[in-house]
Amino acid sequence: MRRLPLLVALLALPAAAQAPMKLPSAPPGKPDPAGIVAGTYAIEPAHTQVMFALDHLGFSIFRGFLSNASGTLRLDPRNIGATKLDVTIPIDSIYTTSRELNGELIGAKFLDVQHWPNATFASTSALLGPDGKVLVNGNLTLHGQTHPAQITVRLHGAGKSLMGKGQSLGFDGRMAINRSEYGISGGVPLVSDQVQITIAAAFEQQ
Amino acid sequence: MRALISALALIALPAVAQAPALPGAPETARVTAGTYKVETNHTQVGFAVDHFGFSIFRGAFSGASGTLAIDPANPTKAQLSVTVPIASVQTSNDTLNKELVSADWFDSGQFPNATFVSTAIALGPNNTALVDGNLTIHGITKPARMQVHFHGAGINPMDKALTAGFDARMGFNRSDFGITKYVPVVSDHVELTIAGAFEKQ
Repeated sequence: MRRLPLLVALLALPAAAQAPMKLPSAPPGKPDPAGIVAGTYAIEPAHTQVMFALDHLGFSIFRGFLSNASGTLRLDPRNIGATKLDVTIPIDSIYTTSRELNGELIGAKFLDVQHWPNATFASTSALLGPDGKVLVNGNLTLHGQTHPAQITVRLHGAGKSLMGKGQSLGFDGRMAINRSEYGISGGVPLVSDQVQITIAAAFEQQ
Repeated sequence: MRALISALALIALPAVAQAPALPGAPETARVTAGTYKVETNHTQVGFAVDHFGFSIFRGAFSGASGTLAIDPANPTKAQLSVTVPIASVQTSNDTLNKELVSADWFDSGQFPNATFVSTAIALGPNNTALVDGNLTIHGITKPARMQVHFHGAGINPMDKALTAGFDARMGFNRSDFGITKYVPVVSDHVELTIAGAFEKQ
């Protein structure tokens, strides 16, 4: 009996040496809503990304990102309506493929990070939409101005966390806004008023 | 007569004010025959992988260069050649950015560029095309197919260049290119979402 654990340990050694962080052999997250456990979740900032896309002069799409989000999600899969999502994203996390533009975007002409360091989204209601999607309504605050906004959310995957003790959850989200409504009208209409937002959101159960 | 023209001008004014002032429009007729150069500042190669089945993780390459030779009378004979520097890789994680260029992943020291060179083009509906070509990443070349949608063309008011832009998608398995780190918990499959801007030479 002694020898079996030793053998197992020896067999495991090369794999462990190769990958100090013990990786599972298959992705633990599954896109099955039945895998969602009711509870309170915190945003996992390293794997939460907000991508935005605008039309540039009618020639092409230009994309950029925000990151370092924080916030909480209270979720009960049997009571979607009671979902509560609160997210804060620091504006100075913005990056595009142009460093010069990054500086411009946080300046007074656009997002004015000095006056408005964060964007926030606070949900007010949630309902089941088509194809298992969930429509999350809330108040989006950007550039110091708050307007109702809706995120269309799809479960990406749920499963046992590799980092914490509970569950990990991830979602794909989409939202569209007109930036002029938030007083960010620099370059409109040559650079589109409409901004398409594609969100990857990761959460860890608390 | 004067009064009539004046009245017409007044009537026309609101419509003119409403008209989209965009230099680019999705009219293929605006693309004239010739050689176009990649407009680096507005060309972005976004990538997306699946992270542990929990979420999508995205990043982007930039600094692309290359040419598109196109004759609208014979669009399937167009030729595209693009080079993207690996060191341009950007994600929301600085540590990962450095890891990605290392020998564990792209090994940009040995293989500084990714390239795509078209071999065949088939036109699809609604200003789309399938562009087949050879994709080289990490020193390995494989056939790949890009789904392309014409975004728009026109004169750029800044530099007066005839500019044409495209939206494109491509999917491949990174293990085919010898980049296998963390497969399969970080997906083998990579989706590229490309914004390609070109200026006529």
